[in-house]
Amino acid sequence: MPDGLQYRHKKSDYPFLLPAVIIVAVMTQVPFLTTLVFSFIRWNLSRPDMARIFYGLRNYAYFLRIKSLSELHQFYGVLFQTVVITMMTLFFCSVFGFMLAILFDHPIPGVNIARTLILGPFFVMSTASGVIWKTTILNTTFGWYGVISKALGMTPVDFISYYPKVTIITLFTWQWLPFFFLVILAGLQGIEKDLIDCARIDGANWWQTTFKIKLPLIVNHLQVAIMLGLVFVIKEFGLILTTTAGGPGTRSYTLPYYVYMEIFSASQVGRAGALAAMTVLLTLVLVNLIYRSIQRRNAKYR
Amino acid sequence: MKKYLASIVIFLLALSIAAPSFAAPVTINIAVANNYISQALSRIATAEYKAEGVTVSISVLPENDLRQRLTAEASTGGAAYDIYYIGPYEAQTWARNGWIENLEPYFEKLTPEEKAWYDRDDLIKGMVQSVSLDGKAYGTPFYGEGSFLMYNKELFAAKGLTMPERPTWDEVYELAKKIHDPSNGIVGMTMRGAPGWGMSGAPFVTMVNAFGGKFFDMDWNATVDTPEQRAAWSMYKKILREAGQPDILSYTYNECVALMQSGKCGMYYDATSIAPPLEGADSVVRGKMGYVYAPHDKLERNNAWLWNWTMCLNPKAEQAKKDAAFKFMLWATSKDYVALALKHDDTGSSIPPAVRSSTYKMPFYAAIPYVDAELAVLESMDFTKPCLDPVPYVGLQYIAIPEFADAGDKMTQNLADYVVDNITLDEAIKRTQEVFEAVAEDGAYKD
Amino acid sequence: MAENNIDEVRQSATLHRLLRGFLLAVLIYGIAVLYFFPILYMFLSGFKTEAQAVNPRIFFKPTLVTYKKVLGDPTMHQYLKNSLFQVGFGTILCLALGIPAAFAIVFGRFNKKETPGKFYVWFITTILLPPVAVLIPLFTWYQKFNLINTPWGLLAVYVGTHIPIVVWMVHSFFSDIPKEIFEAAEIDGCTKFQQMFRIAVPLARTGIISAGLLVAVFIWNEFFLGFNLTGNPTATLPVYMARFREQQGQFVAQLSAASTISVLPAVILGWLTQKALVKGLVSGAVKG
Repeated sequence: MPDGLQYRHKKSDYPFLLPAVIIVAVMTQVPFLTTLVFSFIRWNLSRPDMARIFYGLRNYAYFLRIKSLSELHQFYGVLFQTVVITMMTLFFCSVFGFMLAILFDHPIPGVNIARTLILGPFFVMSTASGVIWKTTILNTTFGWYGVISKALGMTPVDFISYYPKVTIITLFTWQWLPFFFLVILAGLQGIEKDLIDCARIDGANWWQTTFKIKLPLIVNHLQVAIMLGLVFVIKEFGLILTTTAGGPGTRSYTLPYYVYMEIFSASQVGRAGALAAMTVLLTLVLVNLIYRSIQRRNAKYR
Repeated sequence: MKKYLASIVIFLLALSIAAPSFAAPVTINIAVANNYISQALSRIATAEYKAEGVTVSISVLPENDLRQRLTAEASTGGAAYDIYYIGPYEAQTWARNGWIENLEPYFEKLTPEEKAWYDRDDLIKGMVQSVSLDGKAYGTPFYGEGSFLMYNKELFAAKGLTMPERPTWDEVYELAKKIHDPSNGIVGMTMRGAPGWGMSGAPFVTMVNAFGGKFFDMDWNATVDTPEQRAAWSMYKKILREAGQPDILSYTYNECVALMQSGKCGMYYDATSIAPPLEGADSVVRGKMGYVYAPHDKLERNNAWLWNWTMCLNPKAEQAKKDAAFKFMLWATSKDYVALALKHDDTGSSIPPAVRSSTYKMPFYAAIPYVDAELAVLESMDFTKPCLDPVPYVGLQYIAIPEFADAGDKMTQNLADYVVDNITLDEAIKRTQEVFEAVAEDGAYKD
Repeated sequence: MAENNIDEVRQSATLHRLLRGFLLAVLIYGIAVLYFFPILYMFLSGFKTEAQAVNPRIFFKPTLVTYKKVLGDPTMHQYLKNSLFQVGFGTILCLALGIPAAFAIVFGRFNKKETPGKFYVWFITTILLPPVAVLIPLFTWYQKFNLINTPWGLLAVYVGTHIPIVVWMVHSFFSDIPKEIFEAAEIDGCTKFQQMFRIAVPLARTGIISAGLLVAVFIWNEFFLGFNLTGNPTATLPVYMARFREQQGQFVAQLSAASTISVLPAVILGWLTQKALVKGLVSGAVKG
């Protein structure tokens, strides 16, 4: 009996699916569930003399407990920073990504080369982006920023120490804008030329065609870009490590960086587990919010 | 389909044969910090270290990465590194936790010739103490530092001031104010201001010790809220606010050194390892510097700090690797290595300081101004008695318990907030007292 | 007279359009070059000596000294070799396991009709999982079983975390293939496996190649797991790059040459995949 018939009888194609499912489950789900288990244990790696005991919700309480409003645990600050950095990055990516896409939608000769150049930063590894910006651009003595501002008679400011969040947002945007640009441009190119021509004949000006016709037509694309951008930006780590290293103090910590420090610097496995769990929760909440708004919008337009 | 899966398995098997060999029979893995002297070790060892059938693989990591990586590895029982390159802060707890190997059996196995060649008596006592537990060595210090007060003799002479050999903090404060002259761009005194237990924490904790303060009493009750501590807190602020660098909190030792090198600063309290750049060829203050003991108050001796980079053995490594690694550690901390370091780099910047007394007797050091002061400081240090009163911990510019890194960071944050008047002394003391109370509780030290 | 006037108007209109086109081109190229500048400058600085690299200049006498030095450095070889190992085998394994999964999700038969959809969603949700959520146990296990010093541990994580991306992208390309083709093939006695290899894979060839290239780029650039789950002998290029972060102003030329070598393959591969990237990622998500 040939294989095909056998499958038809069993009506099941699991053998195709299972190897992939198993390895993905073993490498992602199992560790994640273990992390959750860790989050309920008191486990300080640097103190093997202290027994590992069930700790209930105290690892979570350590971060979440509010003693007084003036002295919130730094977790709240980090949470706020994570949300601000992520949201600002996505906002700038959307706005500038749209503007650039509109501009680069013009058929000038060799526009493809220009588009390709814009795309470059997206494929650069984050650690390389970080060290390059830090040493060749932002450095106040050796970098372009320092040299140019001195030539203009200004005193260069050490951005990385004084405006760490701005630096991080700028670099994230530099890295992720190309992705938005690419997706939005694809959306723009999907718009039928007739539609725009008709609008022009009807007397619509540039402003109207751009924001009243083109923008609504690519909102779907933009939302997808935002959603994917969110998933990737919120877990970004290398750029922070190589530029500000979370500092000064904890002023540019994000949740992934905080988890990293909690396990590798403080050796607190249990607390790191609780933090990681809350990071996942935050990701899910934000993704859900954006997903809902897409759904709502789609429902409205249907 | 089965064939397909089978072929993937075969592919994987083939892969395991084709995979580049990632470990030769005896390869010793070690990671060192990316500072000048450690990098020199990496270079010199690659060029000069020869042992039959042994390859030494040294990688250079940023200091924070190194510390985090090794701590995580030691605590989870990994064997990625055979030699741990750490400081006394780690070595103390790690020895207690059994994460590093007792070296005495290895020393005992040496032949008399080897013992004479290595000459353990030549090692500076405080440095060895700092990586020993119950009198047994758990590491071989590679290079280290103490701390002393550096001052610009020219500026002192211009104001007709003299520096006592063993100044008190009050004297230092008065001198700093006299030298401080903002209209001419002269700063009275500089110290690290950037928060962090290894940053402003280092000078500050020795200051607390000098004023007779401590962080815990023998029953692990936090003792931050005491007159002694308050004296140290306000002295640190007074000096920096009334006679210190303008942008206090952004000053790490790099900025301090640069300020001192420019010749526009009167005094600087920091590590002995800061002196070589001040006497370097491009330094304005070359030959104009004076060096004296770390300032004191109630605690008159032993108020400097002590740090070193030490090589320790990972007990999880295979015995053959451990034996080879120990041989390498001996070589790297021997008199021979010191000579090689000078041979490879005749400016002397690669010589590992503060570990061997004999190093300072080399002809090379004869003309260098800070040598006597440095050796005097180093030989006077006692790692085990940091405070005026008996305390349940060891460590001079820190407390050698794992929780201190975090607590020290918070303490220096409060210190920074206090220095720039974000909070009052009472608030700063209260918050820090709470931090150390939490440490005792969190670490279950009172039980 | 009148005709002349119209001509003039027409001429000035063309002129106006040309001028507008020219300005637009200048603007577009200007922005593109400025945006790309950090990478461009990195590429150029690799051709400087260390002494030249201290001062930012675009025009200088190029030399190959630095590239030769970086490429001749045995530690660089080690990182490069490790990265190539992870990317090469990681990508092949991701495709080998991900394509059948995507195939089963689109064309497979299961007891329940909603099963494939469920698996699809499950794969997608694993992409949402931030790596910090899996790192802690992996790190402790890898330390215990000494997987840090072998490339296998990292390879396993890379395969596990990148299969979902293959499934996601290939899924959208498979979905474009009409199902009728397979029905016809089945009547001709084609097994499921043959259907996948002989029909689906060739038809979705471009999509599969792009998915492979994209995964290759992702693995090449991956830092967080590579940083925490490797030791001296297994570290990859992004880890190497991160080690340059504390060298303010020193070794700019060396840094530039090393990063050019690390960055260039990914950027070129990335440029090749851009079209498929949009289709694979966006069309799946726009529908779902």
